[in-house]
Amino acid sequence: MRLDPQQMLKLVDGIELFDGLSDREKNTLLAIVRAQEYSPGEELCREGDRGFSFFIVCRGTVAIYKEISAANRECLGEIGPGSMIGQVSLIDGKPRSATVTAKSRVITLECTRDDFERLFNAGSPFAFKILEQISIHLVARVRNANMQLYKLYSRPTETLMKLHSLCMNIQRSISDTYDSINLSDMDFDGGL
Amino acid sequence: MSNRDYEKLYRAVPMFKQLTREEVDEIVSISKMFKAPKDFVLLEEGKPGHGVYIIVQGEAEIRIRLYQGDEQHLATLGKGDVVGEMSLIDDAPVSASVTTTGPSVVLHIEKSRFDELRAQYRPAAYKIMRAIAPMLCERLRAINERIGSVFKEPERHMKLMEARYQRLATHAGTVDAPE
Repeated sequence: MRLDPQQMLKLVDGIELFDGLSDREKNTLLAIVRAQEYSPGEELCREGDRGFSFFIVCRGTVAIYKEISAANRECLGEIGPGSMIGQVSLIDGKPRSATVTAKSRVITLECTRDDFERLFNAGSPFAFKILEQISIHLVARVRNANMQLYKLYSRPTETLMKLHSLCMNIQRSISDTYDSINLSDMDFDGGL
Repeated sequence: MSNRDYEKLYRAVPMFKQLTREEVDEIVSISKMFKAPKDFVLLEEGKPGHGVYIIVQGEAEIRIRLYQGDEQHLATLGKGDVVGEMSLIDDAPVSASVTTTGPSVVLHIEKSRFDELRAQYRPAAYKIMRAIAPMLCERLRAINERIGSVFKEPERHMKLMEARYQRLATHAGTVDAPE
């Protein structure tokens, strides 16, 4: 997606990460990042991929999924304009920890790891602000995960009930598979 | 700071790896280096955080309170390890207590002074933040793996948890803990 400088400036208008940057700084930045458009249902990135860039959502909404098994995924939430995607991979260089899909028409700005590195080393306030946002986000996630772990142990009844329902689900899916195998066998026999 | 002190500090603190000599000086100028005796409380769970503490020499341990006065030892820290780093990023209370387990030397980067550097977009502050970020990622992954492992093998963990709570119940006389 090619946008002229004027359109780019309009795209980031109101996006907090760009607040307080001078027009000159913004223009330098916007010459580096790449605008990308996605249609509803299209994937921005997939869990397990090696990602070397991060996205800033400027328009639209995206959904974040955790892959549980080949046919099973859990939606972790939806995020909109101003949010960042892929920032953890940017820091630790490890594969993507979730799949992100466009829920509506989405426009993102993409910045590669190398570009971020260059901006950071040049002392760009934008890179500093990105790092700040990433850090705030990470700390919130660590605190939240800590809380979940704590609850796991400090609310025994709740934990045991969750585990119990998981066991029931597993049992159900096992017996469903078993039933469907038996049924198709019978159909086959009947056809003969 | 003399060259010798600088070399010593630079080697002891991996967090300074990406910083230039001037930047380390800048961070040291907003920090306090102090000797702590054994059992000195660096951080207290639930209290406000006042910045990051780097163990330059000695050892400390991290503990959290569980319900009913139960305590859990989380980790032992040594030279170069860092605690309180989340307080540089947000203003939430400290999430675990940290106490020295022997005479130690500690470098304390003060939050308020760090925030001043940050507001001026000083590269030294952001390089420190950049060194903190991977620590956070690592911790996040470790905690998530621990939570995930419980739900990936529900049957095994149900038995483990039942046993754990049975044990606690016999001590406390109740199975569920108050909030």
